[in-house]
Amino acid sequence: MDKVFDQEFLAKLGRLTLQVRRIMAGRNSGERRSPHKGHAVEFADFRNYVGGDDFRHIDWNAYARTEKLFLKLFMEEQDLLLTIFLDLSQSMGWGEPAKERLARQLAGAFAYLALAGFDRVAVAACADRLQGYLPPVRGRPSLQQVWDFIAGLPLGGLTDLNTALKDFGRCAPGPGVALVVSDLLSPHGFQEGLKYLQYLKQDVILLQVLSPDELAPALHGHLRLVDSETGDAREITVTAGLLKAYRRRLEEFTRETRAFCYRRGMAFVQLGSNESFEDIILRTLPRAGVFR
Amino acid sequence: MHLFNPAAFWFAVTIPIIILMYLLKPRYREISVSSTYLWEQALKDIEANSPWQRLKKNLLLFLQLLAALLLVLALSRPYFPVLGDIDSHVIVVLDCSASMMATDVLPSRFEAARRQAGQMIDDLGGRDEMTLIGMGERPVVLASRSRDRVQLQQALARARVTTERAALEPVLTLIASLVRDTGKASVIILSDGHTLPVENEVRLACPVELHRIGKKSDNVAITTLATRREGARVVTLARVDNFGNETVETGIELLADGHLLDVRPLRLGPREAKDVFWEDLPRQTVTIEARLTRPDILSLDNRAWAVVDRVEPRQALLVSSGNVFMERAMALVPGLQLFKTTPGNYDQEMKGYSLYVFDGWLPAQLPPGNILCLNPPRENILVPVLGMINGIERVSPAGEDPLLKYVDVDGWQLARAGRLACPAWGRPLLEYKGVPLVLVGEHGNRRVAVFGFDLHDTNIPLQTGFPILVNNLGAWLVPGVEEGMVLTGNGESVGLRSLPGTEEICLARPGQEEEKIRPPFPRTISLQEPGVYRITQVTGSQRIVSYLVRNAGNALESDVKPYKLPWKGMVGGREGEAGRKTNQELWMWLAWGALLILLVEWGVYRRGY
Repeated sequence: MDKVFDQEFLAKLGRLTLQVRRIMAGRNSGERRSPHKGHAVEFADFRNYVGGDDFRHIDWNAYARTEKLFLKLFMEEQDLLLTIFLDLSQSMGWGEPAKERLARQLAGAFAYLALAGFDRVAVAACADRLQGYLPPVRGRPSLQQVWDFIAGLPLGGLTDLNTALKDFGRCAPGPGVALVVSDLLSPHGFQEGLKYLQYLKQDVILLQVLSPDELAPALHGHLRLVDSETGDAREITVTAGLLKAYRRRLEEFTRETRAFCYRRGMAFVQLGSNESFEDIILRTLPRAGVFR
Repeated sequence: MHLFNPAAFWFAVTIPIIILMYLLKPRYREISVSSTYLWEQALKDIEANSPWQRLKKNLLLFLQLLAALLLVLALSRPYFPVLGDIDSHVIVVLDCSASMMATDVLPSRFEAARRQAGQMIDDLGGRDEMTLIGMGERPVVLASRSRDRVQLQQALARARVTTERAALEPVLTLIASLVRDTGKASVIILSDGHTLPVENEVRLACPVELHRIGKKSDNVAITTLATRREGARVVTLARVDNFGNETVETGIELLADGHLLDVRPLRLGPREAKDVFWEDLPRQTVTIEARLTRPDILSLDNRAWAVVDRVEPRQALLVSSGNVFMERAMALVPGLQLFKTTPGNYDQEMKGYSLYVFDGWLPAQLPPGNILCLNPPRENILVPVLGMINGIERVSPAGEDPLLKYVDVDGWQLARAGRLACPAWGRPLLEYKGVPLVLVGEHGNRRVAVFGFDLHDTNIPLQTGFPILVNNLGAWLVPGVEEGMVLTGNGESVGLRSLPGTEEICLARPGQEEEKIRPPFPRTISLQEPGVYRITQVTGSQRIVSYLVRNAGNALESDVKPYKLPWKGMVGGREGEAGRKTNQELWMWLAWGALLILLVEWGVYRRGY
C-alpha cells in the first residue's frame, strides 16, 4: 500500500473531501455537518428562548432590535462513519491487472481521505458472506492499521453480495457512508444488499471494478470458459455474434445498475482495472460527485 | 460384396455429414474467466434467437445413426455371390446380329460364339439348367430352363445369324422376368458388344458377364444409298464409312438395273466417311446397286441397293353436285389425279379409277375401286343411316388410329349429321357421343370411308385438321405409295397392301425364284436378305410392279470393333470366364439389425439417458 501512495499523491488526496449526500448524525465532534445543532461556528437558525436554555446563546443584538429573546443556533460539526465494503471473492483476483488490486487501492484511498478528515473508518470484506470486519477507527494514526487490514484480507470464495451486505446488519455501528467496491458479478444479485444498506441509513457509493477483458473481451475460437469461483465450465465458440451479444448484455447490465442506483439515490461509477489510479481518484470520482 | 441397388446410398449422405460434424468437433481451449455469469446470459440470448443448436454427444443419437445406417445398407440390397450352388441356372445370350458375321474370328464371330455356348452346354452340371436366348431386334428363346444337353445342343444348332441389329433391352427385360421368382441365375452374353442403346433402366438381380467376341475393326461399309429424280435426271448418293483404324483404298462400282455404269476409286482415312454422287444416270433406271471392291471382315455391308421413284399418279373420280372443299383437299393428296362428274352424268362404265368419291349420292351398284362416301343418303347399299343428329358441338376420336395422325379435331362443329349405324365391316374413326361421324373399313375387297355429314353443314373444311385427314384417308384409300420404299435395315418385315381386285402377287426375293401368292394375301413380307424385292400385283391383264429394298449397312452393325455393352446396369458383371454363382442377399439381416438397434434405442430412451 505504501508504494501506491507517495507523498505527492497523498498531498493531492488531502485536498479532496468525501462528498456526503445526506447530512447524517455522527458520534464524535468532527468536521462534517450533522443534523444536530450544536456549538460550532457555522450559524444554522434562530428559535425562541424557553426556560432552561443556555442564556449564553441568546442573541442580544436581536433582543436590542425586537425586545424578544432568541436563541442563536449553530450547526454542530460531527465526524462521519465510512464503511468500506471490499469484494474479495475469487473473481476479483481475475484480470490483467487484477481487479482486487485497484479495489484495495480505492479502499485505501477512501480510508485515507476519511481518516485525514477526522472521520471514522470501518472495513468489511465480502465474498459469499461477510469475511472480515474492522470496527470503526478514527484519526490519522489509525491509517496504517486500516491499510494493513485491507492489504491482509485474503482473496477467495464465491460472490454473494446480498448475503454479505445483510451480514453487516449485525455489526452496523450507525449511519454513515457505505463504499461498496465490487465487480458486481454476483449470480444472486446485489440490489437487495444495497437496499439493506440504505435501510441501515448508509449513503451508498457503489464502485464497480471490471477488467479490460471483461469490458471488451478479446476472445476467439472454441473455448471452454472456466468460472474462477465455481469451477464450472461452459464450452463456447466465440463468434462475432456472440461477442456482440456479450457486449449488449454488459451494456444492459450496466444500464440497469445505473438506473437502480439513480432511483435509490446512490452514486455509481464503473471503473476499469487498467485505468490510472490517479485519474480515478483525481478526475473520475470528483466528476462523478463522489469527492468534492 | 455387391449391391443390387447402389443408388440407395444417396440416402446415406446425411450420415457421413453428421459423423463428420462429430469428427470435426472443435478442440476447446480452456481459459479461466472471472465469472461465466454474463457469458451465460449472452449465450441464452443467442440460443433464444437461433433455430439451431449444436449437436451434443448423445447415446440416443448414436443409436439412431446406427439404425439409419443399417436401413440405408438394407435399402441398397447388398449381396455376395456364392460359388458352387448345385441348382444354378445359366442364361446364355447369343448375339445373332449382322456384325456377328464378321470373319476376324474364324470362321465367324457367330460361329465362335456358338462354339463357346456349346462348350458351356457340355460343362453343365447334373442339376444345372440352361436357357438359350438369341439376341436380334427381338429376343428369341431357343431353349428354356433345360437340363437336357442334347436338346440344348439342338436348339443351339438351330440358331441363325441375321441381318438385324441387336437389341439388348428386350433381352434384359426377358431375363428379368425369367429370374424374378428365383433370383438364382447367372447370365452370360456372347456378343461383340454392338447393341441398340438401353433406353430404360433395367436391373437384374443376378450377375451378368459379357464374353466379348471379335478382335478387329477393319470394315468399310456403304451406310447410305439414296436416289431421286430431279426433272429428267436421276441423282444418286452413296455414303461410304471406314470403321477401321487404318487408311484404306477401295473402289465403288455403280450398277443400274444390273449393268455396270461407273467405278470410282476411294481413299478413306481411319474412321472417315465420304459421300459419292452420280448425277446423270439413265432416266429409265429402276434399280441401282453400289458395290465396294475391297474385301473386308464383314462383306454384308459392301453392297447396297436403291430404287428410283416411279411417279405413276393414281386416278380418283369425284361424283358430286359441287363440293369445292373436297376438291381442294383431294388435290393436295400426293400422286392422286382427280376427275369430276355429277351424279347425273355418272355411268357404271366409268371404271379404272383407284378411288371413287361420292358426295351425297351413291350408285345402285358399287364400282370396283375404293370408295369415299360423303353424306350418304337414307337409302343406300353401303351403310345404314338411321336419322339425323343436330347441333354437334364437339367431335371426338373413337380411338387411337394412324388415320388420325396429326389431325386436331378441337373446334370441329356440325349443324347436322346422319345418324350412322356402324356396319360389321367398318370401325368408327370420329364420333359424337358414341354415334359414328366418320367410318372406315374394308367392304368386300375394297376400302371404304364414310363421312356421315355434308361438309357444307360444318365448319370442318375451315379447320387445319381437315386437309390432313383427307390426306391420311387418301394415302390409305389409294395404296401403292410404298412403291420404291427403301428400308435401311431397321425392320425385318414390311406390310403388304394389295390393290383392289388383285388376283395374284408375284414376289421375287433377292437371288431367288419368283414366288406366286394367291389370295388370301399375307399381310407382311419378310425382308431378311439384303437386296431388292420385286412385288408384282396382277389385276386382270394389268401388272403393277413395286420394289422394296433392304440394305444391311448401318452405323451400328457395320462398326465391328468389339465394344463393351451399352448398359450400366451390369451389376456384379465382369468379362471373362463364366462362373455359375448365386447371390446371397444381406438386406434381411441388416433390417433385423436396424430393428434391434431401434428397440435398444427405445429402451435407452425409457431409461432416460
